[in-house]
Amino acid sequence: MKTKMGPMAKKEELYFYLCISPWIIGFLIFIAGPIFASLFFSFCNYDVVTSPDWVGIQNYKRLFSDPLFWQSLKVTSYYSLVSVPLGIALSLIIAILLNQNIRGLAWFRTIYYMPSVISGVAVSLLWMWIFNPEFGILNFLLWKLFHIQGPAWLMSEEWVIPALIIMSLWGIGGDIVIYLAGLQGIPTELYEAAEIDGANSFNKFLNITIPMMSPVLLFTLIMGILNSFQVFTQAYVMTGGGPHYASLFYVLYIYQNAFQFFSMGYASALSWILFLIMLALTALIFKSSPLWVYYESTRER
Amino acid sequence: MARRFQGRYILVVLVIGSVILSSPVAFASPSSAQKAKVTVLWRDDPQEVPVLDEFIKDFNSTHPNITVEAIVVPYDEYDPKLFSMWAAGTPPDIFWCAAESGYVDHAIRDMNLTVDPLVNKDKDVVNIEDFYPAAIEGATFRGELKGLPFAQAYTALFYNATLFDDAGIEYPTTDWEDESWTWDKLVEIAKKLTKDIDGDGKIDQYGFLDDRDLFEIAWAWGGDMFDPNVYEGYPPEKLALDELENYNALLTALQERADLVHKHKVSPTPATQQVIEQMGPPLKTGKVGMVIGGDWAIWGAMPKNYKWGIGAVPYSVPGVKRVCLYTDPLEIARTSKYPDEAWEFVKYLVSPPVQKTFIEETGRVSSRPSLREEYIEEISSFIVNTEQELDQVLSGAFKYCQEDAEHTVFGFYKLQFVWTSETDPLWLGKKGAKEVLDAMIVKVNQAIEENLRSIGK
Repeated sequence: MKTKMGPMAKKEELYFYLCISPWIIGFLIFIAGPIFASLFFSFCNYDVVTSPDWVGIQNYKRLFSDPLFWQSLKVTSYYSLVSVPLGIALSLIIAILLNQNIRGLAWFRTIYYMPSVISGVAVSLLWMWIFNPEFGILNFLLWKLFHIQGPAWLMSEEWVIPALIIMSLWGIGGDIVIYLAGLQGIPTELYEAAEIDGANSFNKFLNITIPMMSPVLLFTLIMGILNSFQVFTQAYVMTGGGPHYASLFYVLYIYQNAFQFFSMGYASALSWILFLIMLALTALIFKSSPLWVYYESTRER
Repeated sequence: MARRFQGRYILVVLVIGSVILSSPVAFASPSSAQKAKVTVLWRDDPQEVPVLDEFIKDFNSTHPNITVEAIVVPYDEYDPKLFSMWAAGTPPDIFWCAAESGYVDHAIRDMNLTVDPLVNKDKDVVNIEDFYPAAIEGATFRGELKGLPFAQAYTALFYNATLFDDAGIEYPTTDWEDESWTWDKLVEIAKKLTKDIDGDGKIDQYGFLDDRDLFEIAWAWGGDMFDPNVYEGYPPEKLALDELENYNALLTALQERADLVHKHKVSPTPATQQVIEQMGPPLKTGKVGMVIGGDWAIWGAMPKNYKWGIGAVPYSVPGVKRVCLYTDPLEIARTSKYPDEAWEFVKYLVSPPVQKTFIEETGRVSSRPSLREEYIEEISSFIVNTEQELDQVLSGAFKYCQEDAEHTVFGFYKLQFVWTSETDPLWLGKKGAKEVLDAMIVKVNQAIEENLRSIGK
């Protein structure tokens, strides 16, 4: 039951809304407005310049017969399916290694985190050189160390996505920092108790670290999937979607339709489908989370 | 309590105050209302922008009632900016096909003003006769002039003369009518220019790079991807490749292009080409002997350790010569509040003195034949050809040309994306020319249909 507010409290509430109003107004105009506008546009034929024409569900019907829609979905899922688990595993391993009471932890943390603060375009340009089939350091090392003639990477239909997945590992520093914080929050007595019971390090990892870290893993899994479905810069800067549509990521395809082909209506429909896909995926993960995510507080009740 | 509230008042005042102060209304000066403000949307070309700034300064000082202001955006953002400014109801008064969309795309969406009446009004100043006819065609939409040519580029053969000297080969001819200058001969020369300098089994220097788009090589081999009326501004309904002559021409052209890479090995593979392009414009890197393409191959400072030359594009098939001309007309927004003032500035930019400065500062050619000598003088300082030879090259380049399909074919950018993607497997050596071409036709025709649907057809 709501208690009646005194005049002072009312006034205070007013000030509260007044103070956050710039943000609320900004949200309504610049975020909520466009979101609903795009829903409207997705039912229109709209080229940005001339006024939108209502065409019903035509744009959505077109989606299903558009091979590039399916291609972009395939490319993005492939990337997401490999890069997200790989990124999580690798950053967790590095975080655990960094958590071993080593000297200069702050240094390592900074070094691993550093790539995450560099702009995506700069990183893309850098990696274009790394993947350069002739002068790139990657193929150079492959040849020098293993005598393997490296692939053409970004210029190869088969290797362009693996290349971009390798590149995505560059940004795991953000996750490492989160995991490190999580690891440091695990009470040491749990490990000590396990040791007394004779658990080896693998058992400790499996039965203490993983369950204790599961809320953090849930968070990074969701963020990782959401981010991987929104890959744009790399593809836009490095490959333009090629060769032969092999790196035509979903958001790149939206961008092309919206700002290069000026099919804003179709691009809006694509965006809403992406939104629904991400919503479904997130819901699925949340639904499944009670099976594998362990919250300390729920147990204590 | 009272002190706490005082603090809140100050906070609220600050918030509201900052909102008001940050709005442009607060500082709008009353005098600016009488001046016509003309905005020009420009791309952030490092060569163009400083010159444009000078022009604007000069124009503003001599036209007290007009203030021209440039909005400069990166090349990739030009079209999105143009279209979104339009959607916001504040289009730039002057724009051009500086990025992917052409003046025909703009005309079909009724964005640009027809300038014929303005040209007629200022006949003596504009002097429309002093434009190459092809450049005027490159600004004409269904018989109406949609702008005046400001920037111009042409197609020719550009080469690294030092590499020719080293190999002891004669420079290519500058005579476009020379029937002995054929594609086969070009390939022969390219073979001699292709070298593995350090002997590691990898080619370090390629003889030739064809920078032309698909529709251009179709032209060169005597075919056409589009019906003639498409170039006048009528949206294509399908590719013209169901006509056998056109189909065969493009098929041969594709095969010849692929042969350059895989059979003759005189052109870089896509991967190597990317490597070269990462180092700079291919010709300037010294890794490529000859390039057929736009004259941007020699824009800007040329590396001094090489000598450079220009020649005629060879005959790919006897009797056929058709290359691309790149005209960038300045357009005036149909909904401009100040069309007359905008026209003043357009007139100024295309006027011979301004064009002359533009040549001197950027080394670009002008759409005005009267300024050809200035251009020749400008580039002859680093080109091995004589002035007569350069004149000959330009005569051919402006005679055997047609405006870039990117500007004249509706929805070109999407079609280009599709055919570029579809032909990737051919350049990568994974599929044959016929297989690629047949698949490409189906996909491009689908894209054409989507384009038509987007304008309600």
